Amino acid sequence: MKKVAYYPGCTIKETDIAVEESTKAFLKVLGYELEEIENWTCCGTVFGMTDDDLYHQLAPIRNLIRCQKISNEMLTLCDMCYNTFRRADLFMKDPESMEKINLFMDEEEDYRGVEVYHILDFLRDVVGYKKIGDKVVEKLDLKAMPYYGCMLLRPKEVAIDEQENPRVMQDILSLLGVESVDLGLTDECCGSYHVLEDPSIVRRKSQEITKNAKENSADCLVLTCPLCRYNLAKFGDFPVYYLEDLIAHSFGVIKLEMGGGET
Amino acid sequence: MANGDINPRSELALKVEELSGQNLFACYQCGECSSGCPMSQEMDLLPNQVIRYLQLGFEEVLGSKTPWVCSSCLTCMVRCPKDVDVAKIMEALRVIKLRDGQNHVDLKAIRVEDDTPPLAFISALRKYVG
Repeated sequence: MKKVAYYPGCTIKETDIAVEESTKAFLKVLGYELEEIENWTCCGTVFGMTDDDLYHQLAPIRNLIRCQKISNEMLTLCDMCYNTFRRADLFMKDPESMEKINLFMDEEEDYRGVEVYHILDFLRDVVGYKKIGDKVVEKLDLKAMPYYGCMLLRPKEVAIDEQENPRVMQDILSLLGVESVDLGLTDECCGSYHVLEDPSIVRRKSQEITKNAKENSADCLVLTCPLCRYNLAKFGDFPVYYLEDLIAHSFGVIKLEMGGGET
Repeated sequence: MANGDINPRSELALKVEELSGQNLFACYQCGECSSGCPMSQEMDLLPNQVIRYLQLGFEEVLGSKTPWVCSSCLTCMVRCPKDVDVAKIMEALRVIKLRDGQNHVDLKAIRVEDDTPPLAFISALRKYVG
């Protein structure tokens, strides 16, 4: 078993633990074991975007420092964690930022740099498609619209794939026997955290996205982001699946209920 | 003021430029940001109009709901032909109010249910509360 340093994040541990279980189960089949980073804390969930905002870089960088004690590569399942960590790491590529943050956090060792993977680019670049395809025992008879959302594709510097023409999800889905329909509104924002302040925005956006998927003859949406999943499943009136659950199901390591709107 | 010292930027515009690292006057009002914005329907000013207000020094822009509706999806930033990061301008406008103690929401009014993902709450907290 190869060990992989793993950052779970708040939502995977709190409301979406099932997707972690699915992921652990299918990664085991592929020969990988998740090693959770010790004492991890919240990543901050959204990247601080003002130039003088050093304070909000501390949470992601502290977690990356905790990771570098065991590995210079880190895996996360959550799109928002992925985006925040990648942008925090980019921020630290600037020598001035690096010096300031390292000086400020004098109780921690200096940050040296951690390569952050999302489960999608991990499966593509580290595991490899062939290995995944070899482990499929049950092909899924589904037509899906892969939903990439915002955080995997923007900004360009952290995009896991071509921004305007992503294909990693379709490539993985095809190994499972799932046909992908036109991407349509695949990278349209679902309304994100507005769900707590003005859910009507999220209702409208989610329904636009699922209507588009239906018009493209999809049976379901497939995604990886826990916040998109919550919004689209709650308001979209359409089946929404985690890609990880589909992989685990087609590997025969979990049994997923298909057909309903429930995931 | 001697010739050559004239700065067309209002105090607010200078502040936004400093916080965002963006040149507001690079924007030539093509409207690409607004046409691609998934949240534009919810806005009282379109993203390009927000920039225009800032270029002209109209402080009313601080009362607009647009920066709060922006969810930092970065579609505008990817599409801008002048490489203006509009989302950073929206963040600067939010931050100006938050740092002045003007929270956008009262946290106590936000209802969190058992199945609410914690990251929704934390993101809202980060974006709406100083």
